[in-house]
Parts: sequence; structure tokens; C-alpha cells
Amino acid sequence: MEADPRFAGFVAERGQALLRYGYVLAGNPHDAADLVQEALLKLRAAWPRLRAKDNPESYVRTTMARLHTATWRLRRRELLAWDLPEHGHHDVLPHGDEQAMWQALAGLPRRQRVVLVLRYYEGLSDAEIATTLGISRGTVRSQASRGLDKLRAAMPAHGPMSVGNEYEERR
Amino acid sequence: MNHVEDTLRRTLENAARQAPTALPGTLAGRLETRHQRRRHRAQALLAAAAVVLVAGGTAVGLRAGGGTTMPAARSSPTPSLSATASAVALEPVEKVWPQAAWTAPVRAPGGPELRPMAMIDDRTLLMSAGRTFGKVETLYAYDSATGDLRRITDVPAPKGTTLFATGFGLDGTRVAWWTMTKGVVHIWAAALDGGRARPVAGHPVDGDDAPDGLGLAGDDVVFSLANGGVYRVPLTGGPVMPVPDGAGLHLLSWPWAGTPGAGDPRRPAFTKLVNLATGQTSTAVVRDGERVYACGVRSCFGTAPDGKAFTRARDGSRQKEIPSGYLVPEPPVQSRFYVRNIRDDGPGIGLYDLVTGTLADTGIREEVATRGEIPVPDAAGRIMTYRLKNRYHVIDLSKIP
Repeated sequence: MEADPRFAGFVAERGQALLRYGYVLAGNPHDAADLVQEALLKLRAAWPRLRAKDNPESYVRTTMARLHTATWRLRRRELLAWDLPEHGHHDVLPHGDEQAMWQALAGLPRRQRVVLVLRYYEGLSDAEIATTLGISRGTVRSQASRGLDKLRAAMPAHGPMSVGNEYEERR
Repeated sequence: MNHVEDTLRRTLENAARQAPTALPGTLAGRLETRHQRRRHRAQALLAAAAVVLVAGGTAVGLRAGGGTTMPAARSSPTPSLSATASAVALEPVEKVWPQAAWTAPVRAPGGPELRPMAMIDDRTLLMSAGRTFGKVETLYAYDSATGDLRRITDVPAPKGTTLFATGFGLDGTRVAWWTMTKGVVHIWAAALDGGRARPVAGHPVDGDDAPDGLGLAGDDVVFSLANGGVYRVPLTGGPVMPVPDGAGLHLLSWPWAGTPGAGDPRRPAFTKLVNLATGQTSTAVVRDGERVYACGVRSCFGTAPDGKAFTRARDGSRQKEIPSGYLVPEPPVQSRFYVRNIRDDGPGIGLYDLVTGTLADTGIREEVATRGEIPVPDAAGRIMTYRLKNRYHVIDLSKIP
């Protein structure tokens, strides 16, 4: 069971994708950077014990989602800060409704946001989300439903907005 | 798709593209530093109990000597490298030990990443190749004299495999390894000169138990389980039998097996050993006030009451202090070679020989060192390998007198 020294390779290869994921989880580049680093540190600590079947990327993504829902203090002083653009990234989102959505997302409680990101960005099923976050499926459903309701309320009405909880009915 | 969900999905996808793109090239190295610092701090907090981390089948650990630095070198017998270190021009490994240093390729034909595994003979390196993390798909033999890379065999992963091939053990002509399906260990073997990999045996285990050691003993494969117990099965196939006197033990290196296993995080590994061929036993000496972190067949590694790290024979003799600049918290390979800083004021990694006091420059510098690259030993502790640019650098420690 040989040690795997390729942690650096993993960081180099997957760091950017993880940063993107951190960005949609956290909503801003600084917290995204912190989330990625904290999760990678945990991966580094676990690296010698990773078994052949373990997928380091899924390990990191799960860690990031959990960290962000936990009462995790952002901006840990020991973490590396690097030059990040100062402007708000949502400024360059192309469509008006996306800007509104991005801002509405920022107003959601963390857990609701994380559930929605896992469902709509990561494409996980509710059962997978429940496993990832260590919560019940019922909680996943209620958090998603509440989050969607808030987003719906915050979005400017255009087009035939659905009412009620259509998503839950379909599922 | 309802409108909110659709907009949400689109927003997240587009926002992800707007994420900061400047991931610093130094990130992995910085993470490595922080990881070590945390490890030290955690160990300081747990000072009452020996903290042993498991790496590559070897239990390792260290004590944070009252801070984030390793034991000081106050009475170090080695040349001090502090203060003036930056002015010292070290010779590279290839010049210091030309008979021991050579390079190997990092990719197999067609692109899969190669990884050094073990020496087959004096000049041939067993390498694994695979396209995804941790999955060995093919075995190769690299001839360091001719530069020839020869395919040995494909490594099967039948449907239902839950743990891919690992735990490779070899002699001069054959190699064996294990895989797992649910609740069953599968032992495989192949001839090193080529041919198909053959299933040798299947062995049911309880729960999530799995092998924690494997080797060859004559014409048998021997292996042990994480829950304890040493077993053997003929390479040609047949029943898996418990090795007499091997109950509860973990294989270190045939014929030596012992307790605790390397997977026990609280107790120093292999302080008790049994030679399963002769019945001879060995209990490592641990003196009052000191902490032993891990033992091998011949030696142990620990810290003295004054916090200085040492390596010594299992019987307590031939104790050697490990001097300053102790960079990587792992026991010296063969109780002799360890990785250390070559200077105080900048990056650079050297390999230090405790026996002769020789320090050689690995060539790992900022670009590579900060990506976390360090020389790592194989399971047997015969070679150390590291990657620089597009070559593996191999140091065959057995060629260093």
C-alpha cells in the first residue's frame, strides 16, 4: 500500500474546478478560496489513508459542502490569500435575471443555498445530497423547497412563474 | 423545467465561469506547509498520547518540540547548516552518489501516468500505470541501464471490484497483489517476465476488513488482515491457510509479523515482532520518558525526553540523534536517510545520510518543491523517488555503501 505523493498534481489539475464549485457555494471569491483551501488541507491530511477506491475529488467536494453548512468561520487567518479581483463577479453575469438570481442566492441561509447548489449545480439527487450533508432526505426537501420559494419571491416576475411547489410534486 | 429552477441552474453555471481564475502555482506547497504545521500542533495538543500517522504502510509520527519546529540540533554531530547555509554549495545527488542515482519516465506509451513501485533486480524498476487516481491498469518494468520500458501485464479489475489492485509484493521473478469485492479478498499473481495475471485465491473476510500487508514467501503468497491474522496460499492456487502463530498479527516483511499494526493510530507500530519461520520474537526497547513512534524489522524511531528525535536498533543500541533541519515527519528510510532542508533562507530539499553525515542536493527547488514534491521511499525502503519536470529521479539506497 504505497504512499501517493501526487497531492500536488491533484491540486494543480483540479484546483480550478474546485474553486468554481466553491464560488457557487459561497457566492464570493474570498470565501470560495478559503473553502477550497480548507477542504484541500483536510484532503492532504487524509491522503496517506486514501484507498484505491476513494475518489479525492468527491472527498473534497463533500468536505466543501459540509464546511459551508457547518458553523464554519470564514476567513481563517492562517489560510493563504492571493490576489483576487475586487469587483463583484455578478456584475459580469450576462442576463438581468441571472444577476437578480445571484443576488437572491446571497440572501439565502447557507444550508438552503448549499442544498440548491448540490441539486442544481452538482446535479445530485436528494438522496445523494442527504448523504453528502449528513442530513435526512426530508430536511433536504424542505430546505430546497424553502430556498426555491425565497428565490421565486425575490425574482422579478417575467413569464409564467409557477406557483406552489411544482418541483416537489414532480419528484 | 420550471422557470426559477432553470434560471437558478443557468445562474450557477455562468457564475462558476466567473470564479477567480488565478489559482496560485504555489498553492500545493503552501498547503503542504500548513498541513505539517497543523499536524505538529495537533500532536502538541495530544502530547500525552503518541500520535502515529500511517503513510505507505509505515507508521510514522513525530513530536512537536514545543512549537512548530522539529527537535533542535544543539549537540548535533553534523555540520551546522544554519546562518551560512545559503553560502554552502551542495553537490547534487547524482554527483554524490553517481552509482545510485538515475531517472525513469513519468508516462507510459499512450499517456497513462507511471508510478515507481519497487526494484525487481539491481537495475529494473517495477512501475504501475493507470489513467485514473489509484487505479493500476498495467505493470511495467523499466530497465535503468537500457532505458527500455517493458509491459509486464494488465491488471484486471473484474466487475464488482470495490478496492483496486494494491499491496504489490514481489520476488525476482513473480509479483502478487490483492483486490477486493464485497467481503472477499482476491489474491492475484503474474510472472515478471510477462504473461497474464492469474487469480490465485479468494478469501472471505468480516465486515470491511481488508489486507494490510502482502508479500511472497518461497512459492506462497503471504498476507495479513487489518483486523489481525497472517495467512498463506500457494502461488499456484489452493486453500488459504492461517500461518501458525500468526493469529492477530500484521505482516511487516516476511517472515516478520507483529503488533500493533501500522493502522493503529494510538500505539507505536511493530514494537512486538515474531519471526513466523523460526518462532524468534523481538520486543523493542522503550525507555522511561521517551516516545517511540514506529519500529521496523531492525530499528525504531522516536523522541527522547529532551525532545530530540532519534533512531536506534530495536534492542536499544546504536542510538543516533537526528539533527536539525528535519523537514519531513517520517522515520529515516533504513534508519539512515532522511529528507531535510538544505538552507534556512529559501527552498531546497536535500537527502541526508545519518551514517556518513553526507548531505546531497536533490535538485528540488521552488518550482517543484512548492508543489509538494519530496523524495518518498518504496514499501521496502530500498529506493527513494521524486519527480522533477518530466522524469522520476530514483535513488537506489542499496547502492550507497
